Amino acid sequence: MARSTVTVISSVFLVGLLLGPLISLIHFSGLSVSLNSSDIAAIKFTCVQAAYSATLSTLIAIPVAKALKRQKFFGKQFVVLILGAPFILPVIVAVLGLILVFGNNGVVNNILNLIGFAPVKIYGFWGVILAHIFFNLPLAIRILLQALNNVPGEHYRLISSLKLSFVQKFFALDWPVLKKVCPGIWAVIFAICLSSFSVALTLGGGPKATTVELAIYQSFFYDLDFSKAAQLALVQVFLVVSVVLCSQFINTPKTVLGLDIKIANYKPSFFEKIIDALVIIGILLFIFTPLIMILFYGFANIFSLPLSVFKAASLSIQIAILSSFMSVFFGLCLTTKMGEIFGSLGIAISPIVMGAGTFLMLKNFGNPYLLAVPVTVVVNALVSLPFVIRILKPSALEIRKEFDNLSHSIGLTGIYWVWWVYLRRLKRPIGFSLGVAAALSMGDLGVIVLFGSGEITTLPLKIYQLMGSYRVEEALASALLLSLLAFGSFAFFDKLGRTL
Amino acid sequence: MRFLIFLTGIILATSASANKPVLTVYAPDYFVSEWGPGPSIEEAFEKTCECDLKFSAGDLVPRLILEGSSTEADIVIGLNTDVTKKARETGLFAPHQQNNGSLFLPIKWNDDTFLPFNWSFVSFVYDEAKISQPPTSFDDLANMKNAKIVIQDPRSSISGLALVLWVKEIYGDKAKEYWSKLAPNIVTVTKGWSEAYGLFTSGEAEIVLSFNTSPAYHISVENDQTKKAAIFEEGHYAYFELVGKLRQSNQPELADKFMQFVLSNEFQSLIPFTNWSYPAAQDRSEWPEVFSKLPFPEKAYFLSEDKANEMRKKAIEEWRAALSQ
Repeated sequence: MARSTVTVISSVFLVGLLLGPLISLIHFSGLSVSLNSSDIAAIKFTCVQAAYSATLSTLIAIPVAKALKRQKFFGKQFVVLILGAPFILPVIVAVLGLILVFGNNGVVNNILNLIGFAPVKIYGFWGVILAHIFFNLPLAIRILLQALNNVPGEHYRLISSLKLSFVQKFFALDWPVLKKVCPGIWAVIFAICLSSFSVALTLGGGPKATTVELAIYQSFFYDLDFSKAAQLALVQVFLVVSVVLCSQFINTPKTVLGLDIKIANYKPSFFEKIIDALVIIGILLFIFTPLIMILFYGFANIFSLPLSVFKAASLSIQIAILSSFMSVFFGLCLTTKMGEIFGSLGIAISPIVMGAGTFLMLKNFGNPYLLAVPVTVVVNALVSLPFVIRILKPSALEIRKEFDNLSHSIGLTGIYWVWWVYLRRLKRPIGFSLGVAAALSMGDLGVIVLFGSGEITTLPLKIYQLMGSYRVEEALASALLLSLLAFGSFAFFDKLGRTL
Repeated sequence: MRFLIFLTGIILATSASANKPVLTVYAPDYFVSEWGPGPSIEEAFEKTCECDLKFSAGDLVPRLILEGSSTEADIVIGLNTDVTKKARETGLFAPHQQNNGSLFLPIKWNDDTFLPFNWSFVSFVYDEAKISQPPTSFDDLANMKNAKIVIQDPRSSISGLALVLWVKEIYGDKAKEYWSKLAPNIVTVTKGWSEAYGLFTSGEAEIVLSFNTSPAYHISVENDQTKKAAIFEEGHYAYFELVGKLRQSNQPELADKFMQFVLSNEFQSLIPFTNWSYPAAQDRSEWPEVFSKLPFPEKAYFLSEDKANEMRKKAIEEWRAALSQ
């Protein structure tokens, strides 16, 4: 009873925070109701690329997560950690990294040229998909791995003693887990890819790759037609909410908790070992090479960056810490189906509309620029929330199912239950989600800066300033700094969750 | 804790300067940044005005529309001719009251609301190390074999829009045909100027849509002589950056003083090396050598805001259709 009250209160609060800006923009400008043919084309392209990106990311994540679960090798912890990097890289940097590898003048084409093959062209539909897989695959792998790790050691013992075939093993061990988490992963990646704009356009090679977010940007900044922007934003919300709703209807199978036996007496077969090795090497090449290129280009200038860049970095860290705690707090209150649906609004609402609407709302309470820092904290927290909820929810649901009767029977309820059962058993996903939220916040430009940054300058904003004044090398160095910070905070919280 | 100190810092900083009159200037982010002209302009103006000049960075016209008549801006700087129509229609701007005759521009300036403070020609910039025979016309550009060009999207970038209007003005009904011819040479289209220029400097493209003054940066900061602007015989689209005064400013005298300052030699001399463009109120003989020596197109194109507005939709649609094939 008390628990559902918490969910209801936080959901209402959340929906107010998220839909408030959209509603106030509609209130200000009205709502356009007609869609022209190029809008329809943009909606179509947006959905198709998002569906491809989500499907492929989820499918590729399955063998990788399984390989990482099954195999033990030197540096595995580090590999798992670094796999999180693309997801938290600032977009402008990651695109440059990808192009340095797959572009006309990139590593891949230089190698192909050396051995006498025709160059590959990254720009086009598959370039968009490649970039989206690069960004989102790591998230999918991590969430899956988390879920696979929750499979009790007893199951593995049992399965190895049964001498099942490869296929039988898959259905006995993995299928229940996949069925439980994959729809959620698919939905969240689909939602992220829906709001892609700069990545899709640049790697898509031109206006064929026009997304709804570009149309919103155009209506807002160039046509100054706010009612049209609001309408397109509503289309995005509709798409995300319907996909998330559908993912909720897929029945989740029952799971059983074991005795937390960590040692699984599971011996992978030779065949599995070979497959796993190939999968892990392939994925590392794909994820690492762009990262190494950024490191390579940015490293030379990182120590000669002006002080202002480090000041901006310090502000970004402060914002990241506050917003990650806020996001996880919300997330812990919303680990239900309803929470997952409402939480998804955080990525459903176009940042432009969110910024404009927040600005309109704050205007009535005084100078919005003085509130730039707190607003950035809250908005960043909301944007990370869909990921946080997806990380926390599977484990949280299990805890509820498995420990409710026991807790009730010994009178462990309310805040005591939260402290002794809920938080303790969730510390790993909490650490992981704090890390993701902090890193995401670090890389986020912050919506308010679109309408006036006042006195605040975050690190991503500094990078854009550098890029905008010809200083590409310094921008790359700052981007490297940002990536290191984002990655550092992710690693810190993730580690904390594992060791505490 | 440090965050709290930071917050109080902001609040104290705002109240401490309350005894001096404040002139609030809205400007785009690149203008206000430490690498843009903002900081040196602020310093120079504050020496004479007995006031506190406060820049507020952000996107200009959408913000003015959201704020309406409650805006705190006294001055808006960094507008361009593609948004002046909408900006004018807000009714928030007052006449600039400066003498348009003191401007040195490639065209005659008649607008008495928006005042240009710097300008340049939209141009394709190329890397001399990779392009031995630079194009001298749009046809040349389309006929180049295996050239890799990166441009900006006219739907999200001012320079991208300028290119589309420029092509439309030259080719008229044949603009779509021209875009289809150029399409194979276009590597990709980016959201804004920064992304495109980044692709150019990182070697992904050999030609980028930028300004004819861009090479001045590479020459004077990096001592790099290989970046050059291709000069087209058809003539180039002139790109102006403008400043305007708000009608309901609560510091009208300071605002007037600032508008005068914009045309002063002091302000104008700060422009070339901070905003990498030509000062609007200085004759070519007064420009720094790096700038006066840059290749200069013979003809300038400029579209009135009404004409540009009329052409825009069709020109973008033709561009989109041709490049989507």
